[in-house]
Amino acid sequence: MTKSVSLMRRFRRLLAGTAEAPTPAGEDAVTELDLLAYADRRLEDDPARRALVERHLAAQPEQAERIAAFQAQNEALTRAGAAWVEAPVPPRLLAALAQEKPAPRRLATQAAAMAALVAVSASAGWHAGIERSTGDGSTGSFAASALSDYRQQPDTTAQAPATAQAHRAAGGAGAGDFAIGTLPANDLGSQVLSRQGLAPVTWLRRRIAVEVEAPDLGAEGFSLVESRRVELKGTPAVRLLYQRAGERVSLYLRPRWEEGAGPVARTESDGLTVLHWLDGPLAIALVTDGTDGEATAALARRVHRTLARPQLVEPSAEPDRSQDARLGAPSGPELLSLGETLSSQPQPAAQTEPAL
Amino acid sequence: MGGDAEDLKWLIAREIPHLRRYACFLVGDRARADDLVQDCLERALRKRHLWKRHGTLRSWLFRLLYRLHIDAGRSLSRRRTATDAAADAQVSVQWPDQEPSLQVGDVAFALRRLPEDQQAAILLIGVEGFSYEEAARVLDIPIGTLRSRLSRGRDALRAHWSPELEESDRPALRRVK
Repeated sequence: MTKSVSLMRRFRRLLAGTAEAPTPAGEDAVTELDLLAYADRRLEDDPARRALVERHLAAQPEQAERIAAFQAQNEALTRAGAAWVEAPVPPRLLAALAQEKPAPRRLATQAAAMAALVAVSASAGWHAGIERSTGDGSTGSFAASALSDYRQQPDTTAQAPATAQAHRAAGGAGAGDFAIGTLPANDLGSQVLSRQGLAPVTWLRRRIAVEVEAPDLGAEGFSLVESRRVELKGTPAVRLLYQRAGERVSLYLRPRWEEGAGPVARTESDGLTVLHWLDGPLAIALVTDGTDGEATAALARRVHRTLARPQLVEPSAEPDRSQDARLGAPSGPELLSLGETLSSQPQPAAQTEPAL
Repeated sequence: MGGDAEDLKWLIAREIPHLRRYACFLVGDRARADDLVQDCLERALRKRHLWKRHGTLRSWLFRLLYRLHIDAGRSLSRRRTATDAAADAQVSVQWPDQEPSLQVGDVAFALRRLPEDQQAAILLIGVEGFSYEEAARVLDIPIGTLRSRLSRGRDALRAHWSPELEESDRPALRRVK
């Protein structure tokens, strides 16, 4: 009986609008676990206790706000995780389950990582950035040069590209210049990296790298067919080319010295659409000849989701002199783009155990 | 290998998407998350005779994965540098007229600023739907400890993240603290 008396008392207080804290007593005491269970919707099958917590919260606005915030956290986390849980399971995980012996890990990682790594030396200092002129977050000029590169693409892919040395010789003079041009695709192919494989680009001290994965647009039907470094109006970038039955999408990623982000802008020109935005240390432009605006937006969303939180890393591995010799000693800020393994390519032969 | 083993593999395979989600949140990077899941699956196969002592298959797998994660020190927070700290101060990306799911990356990011044991507690309860008892068993802790990790973790997460940060339609350059 004491329980119902106490409830009645509390109820009267509520009605009277005197929202003082109910004195915890006996079974009526609302514990922290009650509050958590309420936030986590674990009281759905205990209406009495749920009602008790609700009365408690009605009297304590601050606590109610806290519990509502917990609920919002759960919901936001669930939304954030939805893409991961819905993504197709990579074959290597199913393979791991199919076999008795452990898979050759390094190799598996390498094949699946699809890491396009962009490394930028920081000899010009963190803030002496290339992005100064567009520090307001505008990506218009980047979009324009991406567009013009896209138009020229058939030519540039056919061209025999010059060597890195030649580009360095041609453009390496100015301290703030980026002096690297297009490299042959097979040149990139020789630099296949996994995340463990950062070593080949760590020959320069004080390097800051922007580590990204080539976005997987497979869900939209696009497959990655090419990745190369390109020069857009004298600024280095990485171009990822995706194709789907005659439709072509190019994604341009350009590292920058700043961390901000910006809204997505759309530019249209002669049947081509560019969506461009800033995403942390990357300026991004997505160029397509597709005409479906919603489909293009969906691609951009996928790219954004994949590239969410590009990491700035300072590779810590030892210098690799062989790269030094090949590319020459760097003097100014410089970009090195490193190719990715393509899922559509034949996978490298297993060196140890067969994968299946 | 008998039919039992095949059935077990089938059961384990069904958990892979959930293990991946958990791992992605914990390590913050898809490739390394998949490495972690792969380790977990391989370990589970090798130790499959053990799982029935540990409650449900699901909680056993999550327990394996978390242990491997802690043992390997895969967390970004372990190799945090000044540069990473700068990356922490990232700005939320505004996507006008697009679905809100694009912006919720922020909450995953904020979560990773918490100690790992708190992250795990929040994920198991809030995302993976474990009961308090199961989650406590997965983490090998008493219920009281689970409760305090949830409370402290969520209070801390409140300080780093709130839904308004994602819902506001002010243009860019809003610091997420």
